[in-house]
Order: sequence, then structure tokens, then C-alpha cells
Amino acid sequence: MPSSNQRIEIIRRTYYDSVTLMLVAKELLKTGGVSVASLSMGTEANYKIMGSGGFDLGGVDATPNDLIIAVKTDVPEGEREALLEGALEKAKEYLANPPGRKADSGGDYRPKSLDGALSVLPGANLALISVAGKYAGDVAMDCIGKGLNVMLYSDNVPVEKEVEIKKAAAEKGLLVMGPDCGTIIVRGVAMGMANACPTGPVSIVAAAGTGLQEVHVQLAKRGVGVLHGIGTGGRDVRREVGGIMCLQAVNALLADDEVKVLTVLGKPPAPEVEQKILQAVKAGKKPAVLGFIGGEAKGDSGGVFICRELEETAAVAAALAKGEDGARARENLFREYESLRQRAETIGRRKGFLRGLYSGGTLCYEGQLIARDILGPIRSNTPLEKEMKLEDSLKSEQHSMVDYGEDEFTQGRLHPMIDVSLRAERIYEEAKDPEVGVILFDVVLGYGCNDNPAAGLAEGIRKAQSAAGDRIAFVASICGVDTDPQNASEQRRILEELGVHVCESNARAARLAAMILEG
Amino acid sequence: MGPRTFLVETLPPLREGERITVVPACVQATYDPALPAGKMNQRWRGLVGEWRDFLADELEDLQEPVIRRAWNELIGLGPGSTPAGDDFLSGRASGMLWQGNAVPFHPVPGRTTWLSEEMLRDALAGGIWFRAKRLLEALASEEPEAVTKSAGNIADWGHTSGRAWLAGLAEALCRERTG
Repeated sequence: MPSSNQRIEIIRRTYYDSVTLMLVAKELLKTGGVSVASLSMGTEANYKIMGSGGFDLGGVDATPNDLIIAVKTDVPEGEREALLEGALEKAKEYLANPPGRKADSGGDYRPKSLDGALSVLPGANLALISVAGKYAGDVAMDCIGKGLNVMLYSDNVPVEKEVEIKKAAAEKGLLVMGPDCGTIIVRGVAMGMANACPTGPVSIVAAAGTGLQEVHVQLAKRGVGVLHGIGTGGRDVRREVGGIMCLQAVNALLADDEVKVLTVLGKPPAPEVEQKILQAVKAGKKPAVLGFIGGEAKGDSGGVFICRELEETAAVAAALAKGEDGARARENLFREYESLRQRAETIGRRKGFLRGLYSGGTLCYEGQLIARDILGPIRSNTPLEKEMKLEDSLKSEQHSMVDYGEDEFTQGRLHPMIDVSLRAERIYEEAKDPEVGVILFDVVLGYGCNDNPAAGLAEGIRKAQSAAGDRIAFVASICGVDTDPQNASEQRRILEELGVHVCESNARAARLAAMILEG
Repeated sequence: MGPRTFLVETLPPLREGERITVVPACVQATYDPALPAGKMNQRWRGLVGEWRDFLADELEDLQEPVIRRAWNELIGLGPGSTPAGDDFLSGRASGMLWQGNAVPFHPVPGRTTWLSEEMLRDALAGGIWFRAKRLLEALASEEPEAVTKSAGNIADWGHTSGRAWLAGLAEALCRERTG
């Protein structure tokens, strides 16, 4: 009987943070002969991902509380046993002493509890919470009880808990930024995944992910800085939460004399919440831009500009900050978009379907809106309309865009802005589909993101190109600036050397990708 | 090291029975016979309190006797030349004495290593390592940097010795009124 080319071990009731798991998996891949290495919690989503990675999961009975270590090899049969056994042993050694992590010693004592931290820093007024979602709400309540504003980085917080903590915070005049808030900017200081952009007169209220990052970057490209970027979490403007924190943040920024232009952006709120926000902004009598991507509100009025896209929002806000005409800035931008048709011609039209592979949720949403107007319905795991939901997020159908930052991909795994390997594999998988004509993706830079995402994606692109030849055009946008740790120009160079068509914004990339397939 | 112990890194070859003479003036003292003046500044209570968690994190064997306040059962408990139980008791003794309280246990001869017995005897007599004294001085102050620096210095001491000592100190400073 031939020996298996895989080995799977389950470690029961064991939890490691996802950064450790990624570092160990990466280290195992450096071992000669290991072709695939996966360390993930036994969630349903991770079973699917491992299955699509070629693992035979028959008989594997891990629960979401168990760690699965899985390794595959492509060495000849006689060498497999020892290699796989050695790789599993190595994985356990690395877990005990994770590679690339600084030893927790040799310096000043760092408090491990909230009370301890407040003893050392009694003037602190903001806590960043990054713990497993089911505990995060209680930790947040504890912080609010101690008078701290909260950045809730954790996801998977139940919506009832979100409402509870936001109501408690609102009563005390505190902010809860999140849950699932990856980015905030306080007085020009970025926390979480954020770009190295200048400080300036604009302030932003956003769901707090890549929408905020994209507008932050687009403002910087126009020479305008940001003072505050307040994340509220994507669910805040839904009916269940009622926009509690969005309104709290809007009112705080309207009252701040240093804020010259207010920008509120994100996916469309519930209609009644959108109305409340619009009324609050209008009452503030401050130049303002609402950028609800694909929102219901239409028509600029009373000094408030209504935008439907992220770059448009930034272009109008930048013009207002410079004392220029916001409407004219928008017209100029849309004229530039028209010139993308010529670029599509130059690249060469392709036939088939568009496949978008995103790390940013708002970018994916915006990409769908733009591509839908040009190509028709787009399927997604986060679709514009329910009926366009992909049955299986790992299998594209017709025109599809997948948000890899959704919970299904991040439970017990790193966010795709940190670990690009899943998307790199998917790029290759999509290229094997003969009906695919364009692959579109985002590259998000900044503090906290992968230190070289373009290089991480490059392997997938090379394999895709060798599988598909010239049949597929690759289009990307880079959400970042040259002052970011990854250097946007350097990332662009890596992608362009591979023949990827890189655009200045997600709105442009989505348009160009769709235009290449148009007609 | 302590009042009656020296840390000697290397010795020349010695014959059995050969005497060694130590010149005190040539030895770097790391031990102080007196605890510092002052009391813990209550602003550090939250920080000191978290040091008790070292028991749950990495000194599980000590937890059960600590919960039962069976102090003498801690003597000699744990591996090493100064078992973690003795480090804990030493920290607790220093904390109790520093706050002007009596220490509710006495070393039982022969229950632990010679070195550890010496350490406990010195702690009960009010002696203290310099680095631990610096922490107590910092805890009487308003200086966060002095506290985190001196606590870090102790937390890194030995395999578990420093953290066991901090857990004992925390027990004395944050729980003494309930016990």
C-alpha cells in the first residue's frame, strides 16, 4: 500500500494566535520537501480551505477549539514517512518557541492586565482590544467602566453585545470603535492597519477598514492630510445598532474646531440611519462629504456632498480642504475615468469572466458596484444583492468577487492583508478556469499589513501566467503611499514587472478590469 | 550572594579540607540587611495584583497550597536550587515585613535545599536582594519607569525564581488584609 503524502495531527483544546500559526506554517515551508503546511483551528471554513488545498480530511474530527497541523509533501514515497514525521515534530517545537517572535524578557516589565496598565499609565483614555470575539465584549465593558474609549479590533462579537457596549459608552460620552475595526487615526497617529499619511484638516468617520485606508491614501495623493479617522465597525450603521457610534463620532468631530472638513463613508447604512447621519451632518454647518458606497442618498445639498465611491469622496473632500470647488473636482475625476477605456484598448480586450480577489471589504463592495454597471451581475460572498451570493466562496461562478477579509476566512486564520498566501493560491486556481479573462485584486499597504504583499502574490501570478498564458489580464490597485513601510512605488514595480496593470485607486482598477472585458 | 553565601564562578583545583579565605571588601555585595522605608503607593495596586497571575500561568503547583494558605507546604516545592515555593515565600515574607506585618510561617529545617533555607532565613530576618529592594523603593514612589524597570529586572531572574518571588510579594501586598 502506498504511503500517504500528507500527515494531519489534531491538538485538542489548544489555542494559538493566528500570527504564531502563520509564522510556524511559513517556517515549515522552508523545510525541504514540505509542499503545503497549514496550521489552523478546526472551523468549518478552515476544513473547506484545507480541502481546497488538496488535503484529504477523511476521519479528521477537530472542533473549532482544536488546532489542526497538516503537512503535505511531494518527495518520493520512500522518503515521505520520515519527512512528514519530522515536519510535525518541528511544528510542535516551533509552537513552543515561535520563530520570529521576540522573547518576552530582557526589558522593562510590561503590564498584562487592564488594572496593571492603568497603574502605569493613569492618563490613558483609549484601550485597544484584540482578544477572541466571545470575550471581547466583556473586556470592552470593563474598559468603558474605567472611562476608556475603545478600539475593538476583535471580530466575531455578537451584535447584541455590540449594542450593549455602544449604549453604555454613549451614556458616558465615550467611543467604541469597532468591533472588527482594523484602522483608526487619532490626532494623526494611526493605530492598527493604517498608512503613513500626513496630518491635516480632514477627519473621517468610517466602518474602519480599507474604506478608511483608501480615502486616507487618496487624500494624501492630493496633498491633504487627516486629523482623525474614527472607525465604528461595519455593523454600526445597520438597523440593529442604529448608527450609535457613527452619530457620536460625527457630533464629536463637528464640535472640534480643528476639523475643517468632515467625511463619513462606508457601505450603505440602513435608510433611517442614513437619514439621521445626513441630518446631523447638515446641522453641523461644516463642509462635509458623505461617501456611502452605492448609498440611497443622492444630490449635493446644503454644503454636504453625496458621493458613491471612495476616490470620488476623497477628491471632493480634498478640494473642499483646499478651498476649491468640490463639484468640479468630481467632474474632473470622472473625465479621467473615461480615459481608462483607451487604456483597456491598449492592454487588449479579453473574453470571459472577471474574478476579483480582495483583502478589503469596502474595496470589494465598491469593485462590485463599479463592475456591475459595466458588466452586469457580479457574484460574491459579500454580494450587492442576496441572490448574487456565491454558494461556495471558494468556487467562483461567472463574474465573481470574493472578500477574503470576511469572517469565514479569518476564524483562526490571519487577515488576508497580513497573510496573502490564500489569495496567491486562488489566483492560480482562477487562472486554470478557461472562462476567466481578467483577474482583479487589491494590495493594501501600511503598518500592520504584510511587509511585502506584492512579492507574496507574485508566486501565484507567475503560476497563473504559466497556466493561462496571455488569456488573462491582471489588474491591481495599491492602497498605499511611498512613506508606508512597504513603499507603494516598490510594490508597484514588483507587480508591473510581472505584467500586472496597476491603477492609482480601487475605483480605477475595477473600471479598467471591467472595461477590458466590455463588449 | 546572601549574608552567608557567595557566588563563585570559578575556583582553582582544591584539595579536600583546604580552606578558602574570602575577603569581604573584595566581594560585590548584592544583598541588603534592611528593608527600605515607606509603604506601597496604592496607585500600583492594580499592577502588583496581576503578579499573582504568575501562579496560574506557570507555577501551577504552588496554587493549591496558596489557596489553602498552607504556607509550610510551599517550602521546598518545585525544582531548582531555590525551589519556586521558597521564592514565593521569600517574596511574601519581604512584603509582609515591609508593610509592618508579622510573617505567618517559619522555615522548617531540612525541608528544602541548603541555599534556599539560607534565603528564607535571611528574608524572615528582613534582609533583601538589592534588586528587590529597588522594586520596593519604586513601589513607594510615583515613578512608573522605576517600577517597570525594577519589576522587569526581577521577572527575568532565574527560570521561575523572579516571577515566583513577585507572586509572593503580590500575595503579601494585595491580599494580606483578607488573610
